[in-house]
Amino acid sequence: MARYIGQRIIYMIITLFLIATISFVLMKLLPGSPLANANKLTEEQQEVIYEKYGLNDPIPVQYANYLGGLVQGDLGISFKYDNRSVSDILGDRIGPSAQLGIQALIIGTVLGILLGLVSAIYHNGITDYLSTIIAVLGTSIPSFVFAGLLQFFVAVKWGILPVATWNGFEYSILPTIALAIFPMATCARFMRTEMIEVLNEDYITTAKAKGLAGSAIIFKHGIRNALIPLITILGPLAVGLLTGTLVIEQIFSVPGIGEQFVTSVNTNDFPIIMGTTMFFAVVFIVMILIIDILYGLIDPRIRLSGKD
Amino acid sequence: MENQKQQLDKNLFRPADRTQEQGDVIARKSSTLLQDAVRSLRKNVFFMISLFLLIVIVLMSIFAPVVSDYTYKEQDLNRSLMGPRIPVLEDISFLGLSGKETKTFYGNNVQTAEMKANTQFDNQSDFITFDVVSEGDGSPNSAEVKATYDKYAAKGLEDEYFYFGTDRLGRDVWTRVWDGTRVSLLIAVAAALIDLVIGVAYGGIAAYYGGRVDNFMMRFLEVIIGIPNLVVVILMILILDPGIWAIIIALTITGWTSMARIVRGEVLKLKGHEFVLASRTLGAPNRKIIARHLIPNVMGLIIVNTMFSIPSAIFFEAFLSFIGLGLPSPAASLGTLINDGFKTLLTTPSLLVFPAVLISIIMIVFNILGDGLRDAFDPKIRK
Repeated sequence: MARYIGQRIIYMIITLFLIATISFVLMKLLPGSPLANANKLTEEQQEVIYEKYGLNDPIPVQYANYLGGLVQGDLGISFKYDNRSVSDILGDRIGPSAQLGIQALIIGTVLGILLGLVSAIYHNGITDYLSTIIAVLGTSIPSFVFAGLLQFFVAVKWGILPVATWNGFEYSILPTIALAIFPMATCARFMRTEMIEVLNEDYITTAKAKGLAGSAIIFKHGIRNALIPLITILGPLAVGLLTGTLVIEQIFSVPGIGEQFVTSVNTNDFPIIMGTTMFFAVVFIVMILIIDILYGLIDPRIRLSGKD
Repeated sequence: MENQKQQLDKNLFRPADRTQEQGDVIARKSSTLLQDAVRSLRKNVFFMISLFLLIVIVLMSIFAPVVSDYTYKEQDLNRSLMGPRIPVLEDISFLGLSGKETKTFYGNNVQTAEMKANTQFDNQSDFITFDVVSEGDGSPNSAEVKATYDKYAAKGLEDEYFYFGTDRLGRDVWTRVWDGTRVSLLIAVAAALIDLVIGVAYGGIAAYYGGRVDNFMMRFLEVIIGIPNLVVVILMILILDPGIWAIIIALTITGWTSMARIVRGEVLKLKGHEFVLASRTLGAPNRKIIARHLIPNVMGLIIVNTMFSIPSAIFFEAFLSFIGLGLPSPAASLGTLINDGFKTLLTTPSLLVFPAVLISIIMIVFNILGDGLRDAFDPKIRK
């Protein structure tokens, strides 16, 4: 196990290094500069600004500084927001994003598991068809379409919840729902197949033959075994949530990292774009690592077959 | 029944001449995997409906912009934000496709309410019809008037039909939606096909040659898979000139990895089977083993995987357009249309509704097709 984790961590570091290098090269290639109105400034003023961003050093020195900064969590200074460091800006905005992500993940997985279980237990009944339809719609319809529907009907037409911005818990309800639909549908589909498979296993027949009550079979033998493989889809789900926050935060004007990212893309603020990209990469990779290790701990078969 | 049986003459029966050789002859040609799949797909109602819908959507996206009287980029501010108006259907009032706008206005008395309606509807009082719901008693907002504004007549466009209305710049949304559908489908299919070619080649080579080649190729793949595709796609879009090809390249640069993994796994499994060994013993060259034995056996998996990668490419394209990294204006794709639709969500929701419904239908259709194909090609549940 230790060897497996060690190997995974080495891969993780290589991948991160690669992403950092690509980001750096791109930053050098792209036409953005910290000078908003270059022709109005004198030579000396431009020099001062270049000095501030470390753009006068030779490229290899800049690269070393950049990598050194990354290790310490320093992502550079924004081009557009005067003197504010990228990590500072991201730090301010991480709260809403994290809250939305966690709320959506919890609500989505819990509802999804319930939905999947119900449709597996009442296999081929009306409940099964209904929840299958919900699952197909949920995985197919893009989150921004749901967000638009929610915003238009719940907020504008019926006026139940606020339309946008961020001012307390009730402001997080609509974006959370819009974000949670995809994980819910994915979990429901996955849970349904797993549970049906588990309920056909021999040990369930044994339990039935033993005379166990139906609820005991489902809770003690069924759900427990069906839940284990769910860990594997948590990774893709979390990635989906990351992608989702970019759009959902934009639609609901939530002051999170995603909204900042989209704004920066449209204003060519490259340090923020690259910093956020690095941040997403780290979050993504660490999450996948944790999930893989967890799964390896729970199910030894994965660890062994991981070597191919 | 009983009587008929008794009437049969015993002499009518003869023993069948059945020799050893005839027993070994296979009476019917055994059906191939493809034939089996087609047969089970024909029985799948949802699959057939989805297939039909997809064909309709593809045909519409190709021919609707050609047949249309308008082009996707033809602007005319005089006719901006017209409501949807469709011939024949315009006479059915509850569908709201008459091109007329109806809104309720309140005032102290009928007159003030009507005045409010007038200012709202470009002061074209000749083209507004009023329907007084409540006369009002002089207290604030007690009078209620329903005003219907015939914008097409007011603008002198009685003979024009914008099926889905027009956007802020007066472009015909019907033409733009279908044009955008074509662009989105084109991007998705191209991305999926490129993924297929690279993935199958990479996975196939790694698995077939095995050993050090496989080891090296897989380590490289693992590093690539580790990079979140969202990050790569966004970085690629930033350095490439915006356009259809930039999006296709950005989507394929990470998209091929899952195909490569699946193909490798399957080929590794197949390689150990006896029929490959037999063919190799008989002296078949590598090329022939790959083309005749391995590829046909992996085909089902490849088709299913491609079918699922198309909707995810459509989603990613829409997503990129949504965050401002998509096609530059005036080109339309479903993503850019939805993005534009959000800007006028509160005043003219129809601009968002049409592309959003269409993208949802396309995604659902592709998912159902993928599910159906997966079931049909899965030998475990072969009937």
